[in-house]
Amino acid sequence: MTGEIAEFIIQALREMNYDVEDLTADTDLGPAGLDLESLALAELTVQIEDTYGLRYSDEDTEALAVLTVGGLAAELAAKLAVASGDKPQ
Amino acid sequence: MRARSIRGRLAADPALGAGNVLSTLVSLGVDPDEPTLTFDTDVDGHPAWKPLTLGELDRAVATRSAGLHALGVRPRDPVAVYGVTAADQMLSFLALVRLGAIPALVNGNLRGAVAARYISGLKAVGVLADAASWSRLAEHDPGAPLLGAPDRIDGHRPSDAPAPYRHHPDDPIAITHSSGTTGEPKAVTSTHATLFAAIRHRLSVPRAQGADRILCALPAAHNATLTALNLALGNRGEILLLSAQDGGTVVDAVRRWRPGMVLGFAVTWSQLAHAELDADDLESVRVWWNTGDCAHEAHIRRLVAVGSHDVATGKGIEHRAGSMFVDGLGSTELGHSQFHITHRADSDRFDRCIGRPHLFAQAEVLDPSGEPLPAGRVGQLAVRSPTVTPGYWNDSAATYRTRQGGWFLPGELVYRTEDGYYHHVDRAADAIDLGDGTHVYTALSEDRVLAACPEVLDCTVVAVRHGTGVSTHVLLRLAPGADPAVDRTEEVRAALRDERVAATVRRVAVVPEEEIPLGATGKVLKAVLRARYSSAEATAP
Repeated sequence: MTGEIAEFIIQALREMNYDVEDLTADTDLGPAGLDLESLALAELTVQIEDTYGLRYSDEDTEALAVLTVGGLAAELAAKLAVASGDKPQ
Repeated sequence: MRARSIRGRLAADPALGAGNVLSTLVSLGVDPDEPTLTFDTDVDGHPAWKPLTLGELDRAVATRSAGLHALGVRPRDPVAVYGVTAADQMLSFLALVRLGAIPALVNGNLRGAVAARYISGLKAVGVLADAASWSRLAEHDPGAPLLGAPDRIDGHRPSDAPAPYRHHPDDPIAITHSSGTTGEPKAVTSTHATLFAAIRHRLSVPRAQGADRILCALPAAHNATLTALNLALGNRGEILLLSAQDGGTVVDAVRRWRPGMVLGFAVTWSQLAHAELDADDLESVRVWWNTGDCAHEAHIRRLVAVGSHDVATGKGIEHRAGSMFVDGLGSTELGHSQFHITHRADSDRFDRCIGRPHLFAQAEVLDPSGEPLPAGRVGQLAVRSPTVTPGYWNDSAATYRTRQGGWFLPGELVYRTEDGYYHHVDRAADAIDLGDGTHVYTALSEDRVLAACPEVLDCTVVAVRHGTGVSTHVLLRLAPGADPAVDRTEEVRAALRDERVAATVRRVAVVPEEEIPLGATGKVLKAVLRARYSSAEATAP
């Protein structure tokens, strides 16, 4: 599941015109890596919400902002597992 | 160097801290012509309201460092700065930390006698003050000589300044004071690390909307202003520092300077909410950022109705009317807001909600024995955070009184909801236990009165214990046009939403502004009011 979500994130970033050529699971979303603007992170979050039926508050996005691409995918997979009643892996 | 790369480099630099942001930017080769810092007063012949570039700022600071070094100021020397302008406070701070000295910033609104007593307790090596400020101090013996005016630079050149001091993370870089609930300020130490921990966090996440142009309406001598300055420097955004914090000054400055973000304390939002807000004047504001005490719902609702901001939607970015208001809870001792919540025009999470802890902070709610309380129960807020002060300057007794089981207790009463949001109800010193499990929470009561009574612009609630029970005094300021002769007692009692609390209301009165005693930062001194009402109770027939 995490790999599939990571693919979705990378595709979304590509559509938002970010250079994803050298992107790996370890690439930071923040200034040390992709350096997303706060609105770009909000845009990515909205796409995730619409696609996976999850909801993130403004307060939640602070925790997403410090993640890597792989970390974000894992966080989403865990939240989806909780939402569907499974234990996260 | 682009802004995006410099932020990441700064966040990852282990030597960077609150004492060397400016000198680090210069040594990294950031373009010296970038507009950086604007003051509302002239600086060394540079006109007010015209931004100082990074290079101009560095030269103004180095010149002051050269002058202070020539006067004999050395690393670890505490030097008090007592002044009324933001420029005097901030340039003195930057010049003193550049030398490794310890600037002790004293709010120019403190009365001379209080300021002199405070400075005397610091055991400072000297005082930087303009002539008018020094004359207010000198008759009360601050226990330290005058070094000169903060802008005294004659005959000194930037090149005469020693190389910037190399700080250790634990080195003190500022002493700032709390407002002091009794009016006696307490000296709070900040270090190179404590006053930078929150900035490091914020440099490592996406830059917030509006942060490219920050108007700082915080008192210049407060450590929150030092954080605002260092954050703006690190973000490579522009910042305007104001010398006054009243609502009228802030509205004028917003109209003139068009900031994206405005930083302030609750008292400024209260005054802004009283003012006639012209939407065109405030259109540039995307974010109001509150720190210190949390803000009142009624004031937040008025502010998010003006300004504008961008919103991400499934169809891209939309620009919308209305701004955002970031609320939280911080203090001089906490070093930074420890909580955050973002309100918009459609927000419905109020009742003094301060949001969730920041990622760098750990929070707990403790009972009187220090045991954690479950969700929904009110107790003492306890915080573990890299931003917390190591202690009070020259006062170990006060320092250790605020620590329990490895936690820092700022003296605030809060509860947590099941979904992890915290609500502030009162300062512990202001709340009164009615003995049956009910409490009068004065701050929560004020919030409820303001939210429920549209004709009330501001409200101060004070509860005092007397021989036979508890008396609660509710002091109101009314909107223009509201009739002061109307008895609002029942309206106020209903707003309190608790019959047992409502039953303690002894007096609901419209009072003139000057009857409410305020500290130097505009905070109501409730201990002074309690003493006033306690003695009135004692002498009542």
